[in-house]
Amino acid sequence: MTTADGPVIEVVATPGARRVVHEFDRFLGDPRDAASVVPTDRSVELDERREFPVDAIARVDDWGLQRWYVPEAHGGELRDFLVPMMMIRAIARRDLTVAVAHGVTFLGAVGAWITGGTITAAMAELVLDCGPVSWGLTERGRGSDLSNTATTASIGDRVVLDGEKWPINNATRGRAMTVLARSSDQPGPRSLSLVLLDKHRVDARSLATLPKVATHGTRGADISGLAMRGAAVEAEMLVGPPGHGLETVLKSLQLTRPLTTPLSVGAADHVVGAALRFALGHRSAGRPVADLPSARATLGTAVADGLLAESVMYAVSREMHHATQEMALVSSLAKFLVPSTVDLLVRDVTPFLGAESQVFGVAGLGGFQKVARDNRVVGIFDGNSMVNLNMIVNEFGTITRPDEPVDPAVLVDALRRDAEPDGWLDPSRLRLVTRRGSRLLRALPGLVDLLGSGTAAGPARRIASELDRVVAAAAEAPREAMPSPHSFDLAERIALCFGAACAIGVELAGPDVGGAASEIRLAAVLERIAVRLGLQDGSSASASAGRLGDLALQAARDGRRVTVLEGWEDAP
Amino acid sequence: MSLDRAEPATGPREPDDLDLLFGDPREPGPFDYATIVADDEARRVSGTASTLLDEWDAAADLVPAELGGRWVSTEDLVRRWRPVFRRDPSLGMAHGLTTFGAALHVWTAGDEAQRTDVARRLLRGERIASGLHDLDGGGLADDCVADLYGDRWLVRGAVPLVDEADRAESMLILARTASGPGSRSRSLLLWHADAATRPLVDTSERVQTGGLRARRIAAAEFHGLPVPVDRTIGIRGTAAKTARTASQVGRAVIPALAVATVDASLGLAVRYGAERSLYGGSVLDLPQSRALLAGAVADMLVADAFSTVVVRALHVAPKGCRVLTVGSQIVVMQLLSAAMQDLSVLFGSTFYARVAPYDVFEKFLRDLAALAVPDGGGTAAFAPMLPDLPAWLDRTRESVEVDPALFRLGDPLEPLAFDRLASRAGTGDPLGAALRDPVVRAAFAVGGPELGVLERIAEAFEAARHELAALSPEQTGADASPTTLSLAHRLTLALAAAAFAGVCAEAEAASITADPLIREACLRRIEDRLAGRVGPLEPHLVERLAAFAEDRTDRGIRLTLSARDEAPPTRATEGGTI
Repeated sequence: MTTADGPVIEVVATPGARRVVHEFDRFLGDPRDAASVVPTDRSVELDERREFPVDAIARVDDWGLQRWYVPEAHGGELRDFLVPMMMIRAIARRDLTVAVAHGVTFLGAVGAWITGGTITAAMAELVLDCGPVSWGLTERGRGSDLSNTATTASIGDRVVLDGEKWPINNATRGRAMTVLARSSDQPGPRSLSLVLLDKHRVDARSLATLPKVATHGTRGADISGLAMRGAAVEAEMLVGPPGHGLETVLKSLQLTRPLTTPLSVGAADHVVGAALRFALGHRSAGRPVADLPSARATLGTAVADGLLAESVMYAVSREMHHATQEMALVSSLAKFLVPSTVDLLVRDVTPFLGAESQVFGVAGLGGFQKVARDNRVVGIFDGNSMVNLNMIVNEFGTITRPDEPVDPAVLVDALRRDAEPDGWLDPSRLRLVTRRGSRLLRALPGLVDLLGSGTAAGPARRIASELDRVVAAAAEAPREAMPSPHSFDLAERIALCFGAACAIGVELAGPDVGGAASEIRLAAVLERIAVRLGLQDGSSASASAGRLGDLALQAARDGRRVTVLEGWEDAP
Repeated sequence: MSLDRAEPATGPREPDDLDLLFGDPREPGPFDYATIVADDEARRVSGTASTLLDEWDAAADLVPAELGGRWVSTEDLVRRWRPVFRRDPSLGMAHGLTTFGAALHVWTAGDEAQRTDVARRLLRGERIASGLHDLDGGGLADDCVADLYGDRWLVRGAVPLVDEADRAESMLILARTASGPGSRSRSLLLWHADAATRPLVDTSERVQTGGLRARRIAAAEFHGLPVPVDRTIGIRGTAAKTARTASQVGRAVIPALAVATVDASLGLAVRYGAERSLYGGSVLDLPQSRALLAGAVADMLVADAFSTVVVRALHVAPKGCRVLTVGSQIVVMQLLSAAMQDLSVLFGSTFYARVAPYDVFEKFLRDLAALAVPDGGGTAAFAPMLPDLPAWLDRTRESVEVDPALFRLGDPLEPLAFDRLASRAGTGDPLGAALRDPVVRAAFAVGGPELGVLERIAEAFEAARHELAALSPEQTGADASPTTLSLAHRLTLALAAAAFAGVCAEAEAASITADPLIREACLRRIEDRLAGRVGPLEPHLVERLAAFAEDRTDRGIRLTLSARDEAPPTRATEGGTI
């Protein structure tokens, strides 16, 4: 680049940041095409054999998706989190195994971007060199209880690691692992450290991989483990200062949890697509399934669930940049709500597809039964639903603090499709506990007011009233080390209300706000949320679902998808 | 084995024989959980278990006693087969239930010669393949056509999903035998494969499934297959009616068997929850984990009561079971699926990344999902019950009493009268009146919260019934609105409560259903579903259910209703350990 053409490149570079998502999608190609990067029949075949998708990963590496895992400041392309999220969604729509296997490097690397320091250069080099980096948090028998970590890191001139990390995504195939280890015998939050272990820079005899675990879904993924027996790494491979491991991990999770939502959103794309194709391609009682009122409602409900997941993913990708200090809560709301919504969507669509939901080995079928199993991975790893609900319960105190006014118009502005974050977020703004919960959640009543009197306003107001009740109940809830099921239930309701705020905000900021399609989408999404909250029964929501079903069927006939992000890639 | 078996048809076998024969699957052995998981991965069933089933004369259970088998009480049959479903549902399907489902059409509509012939074949160990899509499902392919030439049909075309296609000695073929629309255009043909005709059926295109992996499904392509006209099952053109009649037995039996899979899963969850430590305690020390377990236990108990009552209804009220079995199959499988979903959250990563000895739970979850898939695709699951629902409800409008024999679990039953099963509304609803039955209500303490829940469910039942009885034929056809389908769902949920309440009323004092907290919790789960959202149970209800599950598991007793609280000393080492 010369000085002279510099400014020109700058102008072109901004739209390019989004066009790249479109290009990536085109690169991946049509999964029905055996020559594409991730053909469905191949995915199903490898899944059955529990084989790693070597070819697909190599081609994605060649394309260079990993460049969007590294912030610009460290030599990568990452500015806007949504860009890699949309690319991971594009993979997940085709095959979650490939998405999980590639995307985990982002999880393994993010700690370094948060702590900064000299480690960033080593981490960036690894990632840009197609790592892969795995995320070594959990240990056998300890599950999500990270404070109980038994792997030790003896820190001196070098850092000597002892212990086993299991089950870890890419533990065997990965070149490196970011390892959480105990560096002090003293109890308390400063007893753990985070260390980058590059297998190329460690005596191979001090490492042993643990066998691949048979998984329910993503059967081809390398879910295995790594045993470290006096594995010595250079002291500069510490990620952050000694003793700051747990804090770095907790902050990392605030960014990685949103990054898992596109896995579920891609799964939802696949499932909704399968349901629409089924409805258009099959007949029942002599008529196309798509003509049956019950089928249209079932489809509309599925599409609504998919739109909710997409709206939350999008809104949270914006809040990561604009409300970084609230991610402790927002990331847990998203990590609970998105996978559980898509799990629900899968369970609802399964009987609709009947036997087709189960079978494979027939050309074109089989993707559904795979994605139905695969999607469970999102809700279980890197903080399962119980962990995330518990995080929300822990924020009851901040959520219920007297209101700090939020201008909903500011939020809507931030959600506009053409509004782009200024750049990579400032990790120093990450907090372990928020001050006032989530501004997006607090903005729900204001967002509802902006809706005016459209068809979506009714369910929106009911949900806003429910939030009042739930917040009042959360204020009364006892503070317990082990929260009661009642508190978990309140947390789940708060997450659903948060979903409503995301859905409203995203539609209000959309290019077709107030249009018929926008109204139909939002009404169906909000009525579905109201049903899940128990505010109205399912059959009373079937009319709005049926209208959305019609919209989706029409779009499918035209080769399109119903989405709240239509044209996002093309935005200036 | 032969038709002139020496022992009486009712036989000396005790229901739990298979538990003893198979042994404790947690202990190393030829049919232990580790082997079951490995076999599942390899898409096969245990050879050892298959041999044991043969020695146990499993085939005799598939044949009515009057035809030389030992099937008298369907409830006994379910109890005898539950040990299989506590270990490997794939084995249960492959080694019996698939053939059972196909043979039902012969018992229901076949003539004397056909019934005798099929009985003889089954008793010597033969199998019958059949399509996964039955006529109830709706999504019928029209690709299989049979034309009559003299005294035989010539079958051409294909059936997409046939279970046991390449292994069974016979196949039940649903074929179009007349042109034109309508239900009278199809017939059921029974093909007995032999060297001459086998080459005319291509079953080489195998289809695999995510659950019940050992199932051998294939597409069957017929290239001018001759089937003698006297192997038409039932009157020509009546396949739809035959399937509606015959399928109700399978619709009752499969969910009742699936209860055992969930029962085994609950036992695993209790053990996992006690052994696995988390946050300084065990998983089951966490209130939310206990609540998940408790909800799953309650859902399983309701599913057990409802499915068993429906199985008994096949004998006690055969003419009222068509509508009932369509609804109960869906609701029971929904309850069981919900329980498995809750348990999968409790197991967490141990479910997803399988860890022995709990890895079999992951298989159970997939198998149950496969069992829960209704036969046909495309229409909402309750649609097949709608056309007959108004008449079914109307015919019992005045009735306030129900036959207590429905609820006396374990009481002997007369042989199933296939000729009395109805293909339509029949004699009406045998069960709903239990919600208002004075005897049932008298068993609930006056003023107790459980009676309050029961009364509210009874009101919901009346409201749904009132609306459904008034529906016109246009409203119950293919164009049925989601609202109508949802009413059918609500009605069936209330019927589940009716079954549970009836079982409570007739249970012995020692039964778990005599416990007022258990009663309240189980009915609450139904009430929540009627309201559209399953919320958390009150802490004292959670505690009671969880304690029940822990206590039974500790003592090696199953959680199902048929298990007695005091394990018989001779079987102290088996049974509920699974």
